[in-house]
Amino acid sequence: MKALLVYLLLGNDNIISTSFKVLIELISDENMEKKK
Amino acid sequence: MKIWKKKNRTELVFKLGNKLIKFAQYKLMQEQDNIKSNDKDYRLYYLFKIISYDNIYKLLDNISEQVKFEVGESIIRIIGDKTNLFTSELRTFNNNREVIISISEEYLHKLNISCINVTQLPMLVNPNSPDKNGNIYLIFMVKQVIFIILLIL
Repeated sequence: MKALLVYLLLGNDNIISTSFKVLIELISDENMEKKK
Repeated sequence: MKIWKKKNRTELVFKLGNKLIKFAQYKLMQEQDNIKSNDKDYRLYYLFKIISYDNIYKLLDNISEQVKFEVGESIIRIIGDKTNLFTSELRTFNNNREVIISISEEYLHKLNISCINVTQLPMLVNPNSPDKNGNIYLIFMVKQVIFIILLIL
């Protein structure tokens, strides 16, 4: 029920585009070099 | 510079679910002004007729870890099944099995290519200074430069 609510609020376009951005952001790590 | 890594699927699912729920809360706050509108073409018209804004706000505020997992899991499953951008592999390490997700080689290659500009290439030979008049720039007349251009081609 709550998960469905999240999908309804975001809508198809927002969900897919945001998910792609978030996934790519999570998989890449921009701060690795700074940490070194 | 971005460094591409491989990530644990469960970790990704939770983080994605978390971010999507935060985004939904933000969207809900943005829609606050449109709640009272009587436009039936408005996307969330029927949703707000069924549940009030305050109730939706409360539901999203007290969301459990299980719901976060459900949201993230279903989106990752859809993206994984319908596209070839991400690859997943099963790894066994000290009796622990985990699914690792990474960006597929083909897509990664395209991403890296798009990031490289000609201006980012190092200047290998000092460019010629302009003419006395300052009009003619003879950079391509130097034979070392022509040799490098031929190598690139």
